[in-house]
Amino acid sequence: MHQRPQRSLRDRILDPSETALAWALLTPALLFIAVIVAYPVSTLIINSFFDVRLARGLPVTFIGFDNYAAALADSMFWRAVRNTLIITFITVPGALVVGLGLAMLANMPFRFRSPIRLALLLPWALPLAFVGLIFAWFFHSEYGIINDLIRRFGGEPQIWFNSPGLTMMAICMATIWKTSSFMALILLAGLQTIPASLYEAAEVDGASKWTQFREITLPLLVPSMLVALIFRTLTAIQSFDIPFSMPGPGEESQTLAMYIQLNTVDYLDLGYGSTLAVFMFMLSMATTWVYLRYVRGDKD
Amino acid sequence: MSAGLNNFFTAKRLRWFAAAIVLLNGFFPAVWIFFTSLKGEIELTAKPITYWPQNPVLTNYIAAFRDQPLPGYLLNSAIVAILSMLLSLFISALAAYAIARLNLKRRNLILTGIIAVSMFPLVTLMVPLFEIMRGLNLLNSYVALVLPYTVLNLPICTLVLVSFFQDIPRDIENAAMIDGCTRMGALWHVVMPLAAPGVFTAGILAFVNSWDEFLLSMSMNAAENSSIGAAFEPTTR
Repeated sequence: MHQRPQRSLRDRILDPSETALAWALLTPALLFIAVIVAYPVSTLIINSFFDVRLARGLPVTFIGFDNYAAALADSMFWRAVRNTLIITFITVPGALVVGLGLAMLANMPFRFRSPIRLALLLPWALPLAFVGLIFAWFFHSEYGIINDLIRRFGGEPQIWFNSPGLTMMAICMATIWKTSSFMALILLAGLQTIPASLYEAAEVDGASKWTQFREITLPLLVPSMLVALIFRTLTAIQSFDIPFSMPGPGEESQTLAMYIQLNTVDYLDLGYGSTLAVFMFMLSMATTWVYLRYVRGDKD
Repeated sequence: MSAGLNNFFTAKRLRWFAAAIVLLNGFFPAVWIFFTSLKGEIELTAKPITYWPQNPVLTNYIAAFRDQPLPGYLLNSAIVAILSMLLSLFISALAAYAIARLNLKRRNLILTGIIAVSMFPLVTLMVPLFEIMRGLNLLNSYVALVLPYTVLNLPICTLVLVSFFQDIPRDIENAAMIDGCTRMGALWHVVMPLAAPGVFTAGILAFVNSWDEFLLSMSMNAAENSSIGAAFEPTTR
């Protein structure tokens, strides 16, 4: 019988098995996540089963699923969910299309690359809340550039933030502008890993630009696209800053994150806020699950 | 596409056209805000609106530097964003290498777990985070922001790096190891440079994520003796 040689402790530290090394490399990340996310999230889930209202003070009482039932019967909750889903379904594909366009334009062989790169980075680098403010100013009914342009072209100026529909439209435009550069950035990095020889070969075979795009660019971009889409969708579900800085009439354009913030921060109702956050978590979880079904584990 | 259009879109013109679109899209709002910042109060609310500042004034800038400690704010933001970017790049590079390359069961589950971090809105993590930092006596310190930002950046950094690491042929690092490199040596000397676009992308994303963040920085830097409620003071934007 073959006896496996006993490895000394020194050997095992200096030359660990691959699995042991893998876990060692994962440890810092997992440790950080445990302290900064796992603990707060468990507090959050526990809170969702309690009546925790800071304004009323201690003690808190266990109320089971009452918070959940309250949310399901709450029309403000459903409107917030609807608004969040509208923003997600419009801005995620919108940002993907605009971002892909920007990435391909920026990937052209320019002599002066840095201004192009800067132009691509800038919308991403501007804080969300700031973008919301800029676009709120753009859409201002009196002093905004949008209405000024509409007037110049003989159109009917709109009072954008007086109608829920127009407000949502303005919010979506601001969000797409802001987030398409994030898409473009990731897609550009993906585009640069596609070997130029593939295009040269296709050119020799007489493939049109459109065929090259469909047969080479798109399929090879799928991995980067999935990465970008997962994060864009998750941040869309959490939309807060832009809708918050571009408020419509009343609370018509409130998103789920705004409603959570309202309940937690303004009403100090941590129990109900936590419950809403659990709903948001379930929404995000479902989204990620759908995406990850398309991400393969290993390539070889 | 008609022949006329094809003629118009010669390679050179197309490139200029492309550059114009990208530049306009990226710079217009920022340039517009810069122009607006030079307008005095009267011009700001003039009708019809002016596109070019007629009487540029610096009053807004003087107010920002004199009445508000703007340089200090910028420095604080830069320090926090850079520290958390470096820390999250380091931690996520290790994790991404383990997930992309090493013999590991349930790698998808681990990756999902790391991604799951970004499913929790900061709004909801703030109360417990505030209490952790207060318990560790870290309020009003860079650490109180660097640690949460680092973790919030882990998902994006890890996922970007995993996908870049996977695209690098294994043979290259095997060759490096045959030449006497350790695994970590191969990661540092061979894999990381080849994944440079990914590392760069992840780094920028991490930096900007932290640079953007507002709510948490406000609550973590509240005065020691202020209540949680005061830390959550409604934000004027």
